Amino acid sequence: MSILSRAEVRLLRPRVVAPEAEVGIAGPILEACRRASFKLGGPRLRRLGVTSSLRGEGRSTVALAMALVQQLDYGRSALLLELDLENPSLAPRVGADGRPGLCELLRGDVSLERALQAVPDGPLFLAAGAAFGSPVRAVTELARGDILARVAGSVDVVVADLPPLLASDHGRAAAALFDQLLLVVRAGVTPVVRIREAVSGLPAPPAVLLNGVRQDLPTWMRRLIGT
Amino acid sequence: MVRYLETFYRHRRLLLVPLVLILVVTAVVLKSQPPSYVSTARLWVEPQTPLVPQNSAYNPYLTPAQNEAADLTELLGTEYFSDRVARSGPLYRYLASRPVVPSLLSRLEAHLGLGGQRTHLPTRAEIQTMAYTLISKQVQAVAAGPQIVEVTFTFTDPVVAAGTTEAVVTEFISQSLSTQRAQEETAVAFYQQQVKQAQANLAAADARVNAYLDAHPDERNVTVIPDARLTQLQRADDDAQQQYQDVLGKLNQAEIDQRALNAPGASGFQILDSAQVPSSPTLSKTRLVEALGAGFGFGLLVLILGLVVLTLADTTVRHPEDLEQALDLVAVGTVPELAPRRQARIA
Repeated sequence: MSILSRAEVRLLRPRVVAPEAEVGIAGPILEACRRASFKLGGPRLRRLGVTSSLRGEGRSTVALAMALVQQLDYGRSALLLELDLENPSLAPRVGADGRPGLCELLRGDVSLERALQAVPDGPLFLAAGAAFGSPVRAVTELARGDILARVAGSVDVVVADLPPLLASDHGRAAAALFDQLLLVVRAGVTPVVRIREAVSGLPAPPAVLLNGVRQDLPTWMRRLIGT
Repeated sequence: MVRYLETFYRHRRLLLVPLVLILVVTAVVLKSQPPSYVSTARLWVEPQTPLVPQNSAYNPYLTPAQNEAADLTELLGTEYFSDRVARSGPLYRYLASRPVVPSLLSRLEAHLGLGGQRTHLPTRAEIQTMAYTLISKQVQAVAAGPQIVEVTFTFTDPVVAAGTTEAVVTEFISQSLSTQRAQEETAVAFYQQQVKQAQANLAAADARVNAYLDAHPDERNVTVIPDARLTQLQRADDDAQQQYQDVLGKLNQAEIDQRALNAPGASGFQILDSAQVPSSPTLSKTRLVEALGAGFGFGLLVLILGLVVLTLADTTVRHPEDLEQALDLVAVGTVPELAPRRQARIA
């Protein structure tokens, strides 16, 4: 049973309103996420974890874009959940407060209604909040409790910005909470061995979004060699 | 192949730098070399000198100039000829006046008392070796036409270059003449021996005829038909006479040829253009092209090696196909790389 009706979610007023804070996602990223979203199930998508092997591969941007696509293209209520508890970065980007968030919610300091923030022209946002103790412990509690189920029940789709699989202690534990994973790989940066290492412990091979693909060859040469 | 092309375009500046650098270094090294002066002399070779017998070593399928150029090139490869050229021209004195600077290692060894050599004036043997090396490598003899032989010498001193070229030409003509004279002397001595032998044969044949006539006086009568024995002896005498005349003719011709070699121009050569002191240094086009070609080739090799190393060292994923091939993962989308300005705005 959800704590908020969908209508209430849509009507939820943002507590943090930063007029200058726009959710600036470049068109090509949105377009790529639109295709990825469609291939991952489109309007049937329920819980999506966006992760990567290492930091700096564009994971948070892709998570934000995926949530936006769900909301804009399919008219679904989407929640952007920040699960990178060690290095949260989404709140300033979407013009929201960094706390209270998930950690406060797990501690029982705030209610879900209070923890959720509405982003102008964007999805609902649940920040990481102020971490208490080890992030692994927070993720373990999240897995043990029903908060995630409650959150998912209140919206159509949950898109989580997960910690990187290799560069974080709680990456794998957080990834295990989501049945669908999108692995962001930075083209020309992430070595194959690190990707292999990252996906080796996952129960199922994740879908991959290749970020920063560059056309090194000039157009005339691509035409010449037919690539 | 596409991977290598992509690597090249990705690192094109980095990869082209060694190529350009090597070319520049080659040009600078070439420019910093001591100037070289080229002196040239041209010889006219008579196709057939009536007074001079044909050299049996001549190849009839080559032009006279090609034959002579081949002879000169052969001579240039001998220490005997290079020593003669160096001594008759200014090269020997020039080399003798320049101190020999041994290698740095050799000088260091000399300082430490471990043998080696200090800077010193060259010995006779060293001069001969240097002259041989220079003349055999720097003198070129080519057929510039069917009857023109061109001799060039490249050296750092213009006066020595001209003097040595002149010496090469003079020594070559002298050498050629000496060879012909020696051949003629041998021929004359041989024919003299032949004439002596023919004379003896003729005298013996005459004696046999006379002895037979003395024994058979009737045969002296002109109305009597000679018997078979006398006829045979007379024929042998005639043959001996003929042989003597032949050999005598050859001896006379050999003596005439021998005397003709002392006449001016008997060598069959005429110096058309004597070697002049070059007024300005010359950078050989061939040398320039060779050096730049070698520099370009080496630069290209470095570029290819760099390309291979960079491509093999790149273990990242660049295209969705790489994901499928290397990791058996499926790409559901690709985000193109955004221009740095755009990325900065997004960040």
